[in-house]
Amino acid sequence: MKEITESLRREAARLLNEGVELFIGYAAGTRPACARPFFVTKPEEVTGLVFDPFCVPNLVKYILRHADKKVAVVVKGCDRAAVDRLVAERHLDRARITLVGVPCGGMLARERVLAELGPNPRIEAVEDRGPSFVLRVRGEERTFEKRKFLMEKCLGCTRNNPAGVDVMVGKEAPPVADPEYDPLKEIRAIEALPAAERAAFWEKVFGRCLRCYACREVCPACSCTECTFEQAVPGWQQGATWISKAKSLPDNYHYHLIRAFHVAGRCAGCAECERVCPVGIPLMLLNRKLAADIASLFGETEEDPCGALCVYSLADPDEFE
Amino acid sequence: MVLKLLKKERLLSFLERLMQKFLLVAPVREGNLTVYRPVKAAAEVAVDAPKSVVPPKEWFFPQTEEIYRYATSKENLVLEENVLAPPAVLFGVRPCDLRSFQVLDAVFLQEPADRYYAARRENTLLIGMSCNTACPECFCTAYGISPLKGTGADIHLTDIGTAYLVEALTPKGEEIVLQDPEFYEEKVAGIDEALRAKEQALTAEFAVQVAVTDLPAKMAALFNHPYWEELSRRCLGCGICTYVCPTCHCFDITDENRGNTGKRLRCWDACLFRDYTLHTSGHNPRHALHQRLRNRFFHKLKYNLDRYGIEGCVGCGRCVALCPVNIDIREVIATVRGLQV
Amino acid sequence: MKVANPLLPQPATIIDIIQETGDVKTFRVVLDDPDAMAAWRHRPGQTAMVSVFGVGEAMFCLASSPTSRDWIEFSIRRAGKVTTAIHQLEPGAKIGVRGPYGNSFPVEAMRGNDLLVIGGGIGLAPLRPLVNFMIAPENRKDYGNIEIIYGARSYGDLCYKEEVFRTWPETPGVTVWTTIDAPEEGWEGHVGFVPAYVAEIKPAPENKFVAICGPPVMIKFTLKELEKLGFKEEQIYTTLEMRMKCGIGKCGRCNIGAKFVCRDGPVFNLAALKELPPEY
Repeated sequence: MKEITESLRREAARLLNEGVELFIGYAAGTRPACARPFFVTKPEEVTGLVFDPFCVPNLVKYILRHADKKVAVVVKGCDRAAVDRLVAERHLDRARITLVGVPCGGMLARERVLAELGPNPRIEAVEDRGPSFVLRVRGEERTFEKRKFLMEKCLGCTRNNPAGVDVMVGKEAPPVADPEYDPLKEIRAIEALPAAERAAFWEKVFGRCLRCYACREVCPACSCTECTFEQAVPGWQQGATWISKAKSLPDNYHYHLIRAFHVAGRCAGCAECERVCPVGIPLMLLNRKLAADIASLFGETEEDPCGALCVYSLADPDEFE
Repeated sequence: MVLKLLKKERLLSFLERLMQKFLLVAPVREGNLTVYRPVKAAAEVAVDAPKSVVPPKEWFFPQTEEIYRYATSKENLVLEENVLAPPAVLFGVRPCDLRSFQVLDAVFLQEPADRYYAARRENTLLIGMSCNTACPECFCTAYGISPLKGTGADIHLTDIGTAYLVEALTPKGEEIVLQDPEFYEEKVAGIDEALRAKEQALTAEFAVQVAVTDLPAKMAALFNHPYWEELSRRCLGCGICTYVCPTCHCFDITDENRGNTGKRLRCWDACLFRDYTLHTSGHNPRHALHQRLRNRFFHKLKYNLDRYGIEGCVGCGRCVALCPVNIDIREVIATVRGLQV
Repeated sequence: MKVANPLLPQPATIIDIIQETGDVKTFRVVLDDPDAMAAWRHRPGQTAMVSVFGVGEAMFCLASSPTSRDWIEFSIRRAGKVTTAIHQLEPGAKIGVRGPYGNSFPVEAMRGNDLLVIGGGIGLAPLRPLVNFMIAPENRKDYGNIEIIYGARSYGDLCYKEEVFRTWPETPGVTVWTTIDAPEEGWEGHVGFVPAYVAEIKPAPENKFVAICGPPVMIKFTLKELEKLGFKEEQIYTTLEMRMKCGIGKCGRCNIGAKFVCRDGPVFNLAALKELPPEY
């Protein structure tokens, strides 16, 4: 991954010299197999930039915080889609952003890799060898077959070379999608359960939600400046809010289902919500199910950045009932 | 102090004996998570479970608790206090979390004492459990905590292979241990040396050795340093670090109303949330994320020490392990100590 | 062992409501338990939590005189959800009260000194008990002259008109200056902002304490005038507002540095306040 990192640093330095005020990329984290968002404002700081299969965070949402600046941001293929949505919804001015695309060989599932390497390995180098990543740990090469060690979101990924970016670094990556991967397998299994068991499943996972709102804060589709769950209901209900602060099953359900519907058709599939959840709620089950339903009801919406649920057409043959 | 050995195969009977008199709250596994909750059978207890995501403070200070009910009418107002504090044993508490109870005690037991916390604290027997493994994010020793010492517990257990070393550290704990002499064997020689070696091996697993010397003074001088703004650039402003922190104690009070009756609830709150300090007027003393993030670190590393004489961090590493954007308190400590005033 | 529950309010009844201004009402409240009412004591500057059940709880300063034994008063501006709900209540309504909380103006240290009170709008509420405490017959001899400079946007926005225009000016040793921001029909008094009026009146700084409360911008510019007049930060006291939930230093949100406004405040002298981070 050395070449991508190096060309990333070169491009970042060039962009910063050419008037970009903020370059958002990744730096190595303090924990093994962990990269973190990194904000560069001076060309001499680009040496901190890295790219490897642990650069999981989607950086797109950070652009929203710097509406007044010329920003360049590193995007993987899955992050890229979020930009189109935000531009289409006029949260972002595309002309102000420089998208720096990175060819992505897939992201490694950190826990699974650490389970192999032990809790605190020193990863000295990473090499993408197509069907596998090779990690050098204490001088020793360890091979991680992608089919087994990629994050689930990568197994069905068909866009690992981001399209429509302003700068592309490195060479095009070979496809990562696993042809045998079925994104709906787990969903179908849950759908096949009797209603009571299905309810028990969701009660169990939603029951443990801490309502830390990390899934919302990280989500590029959660772009509202004021979240509906923080909005006071107007006077006639004496300032009640839409959701109680209480951690209770009904409130947890309410939060997650409303959020799922708010991002339906707009979810870019980056799976950040699921990654950040401290209690392991499988939120992508909801997002993938909604995406599949929208696709079957309205056809594929890949080309329409606004998503099926955001489109209004006078020619719509269906009555609004 | 009473020192005994409890053979591992007897732990179950030990727990069952406790369950005759107490509600047993212990670590259990739920999927990949460890959670502390009341158990119905001693066999549910996950003795060697990894550290819980949500710390056991939850037992004394639940995320959501009903503090009282009210019923209003034109002429009348009835308030019904709801203090639930069954006699309980909180089992399997790690040394860092044991320290966290001292931190929380300073807040909740200071006059006027919090009745809910105080009642549960008083009615709960604390049984600590030494660590068998260290997480790479652990740094309890920075605060003088040993992963093998049960300071703060009534009874403390340490795995020494085929048995647990049982230390009864308070009169309450001694009573429990002395009531069932048949469970235990006498301590044998050589254990202390073995424990010292184990402690060294465990702390060697810590990925980072953290020192906190002079930190509060350094922090005070660096309140306005651009570092906090820089750090907050990647902060999501979510509540993970506060909700998994064993010493965070902030809460909100809200009503849940049904006609003329309802419940008043106390719920955890997080200083990273935008509306946490928002005034009705719209003014927000900590309107910017870097102010909120800075306040959290100051609270943990300075304010708590200033106010209560005890650090607000116990080095459990939960926030380090769970922050989605790698804001790492160990790094913050090292950076602040290294910054030029 | 049964300890008192500091989070549990005392049932109370609103016995009278005085419309002070367009959006400020003073609620006169009696605790339902006569023993609790008889035992109620507060000091000038202290606060209490008021509950409207089903809506919530909010912290208000105690506006009644500490010498009042029959009732307590809160002056409340309609602003958010709790205050809106309180404004909809009528005499006889049941509310909850817990407190008093926090520190107070240093009435012991103030003994033998003069007092300068500067208030803006509803900001007079926490200062009113201080004045009424000092002019109470049993305390009057302990304190010197009292100067009160009070302003509001308009005549209609001046609170406690009975006291401001009658009781206080008629009390020996008390002088009251009032001002409104813009001229209006029927107003023959001073027109202008409080800071400018302070500069005009030129109160002397010797042997004097200052208690100031009002909109932040008024405080900011008045402090500059006071500085010019030779007042020291140690002489000047103000009272802070913060969002609060518990009132007893546990819920966390009213901290300024290591201080909790609910316990260590709400009254701070300026010198102490300058030692704290500017997060209020």
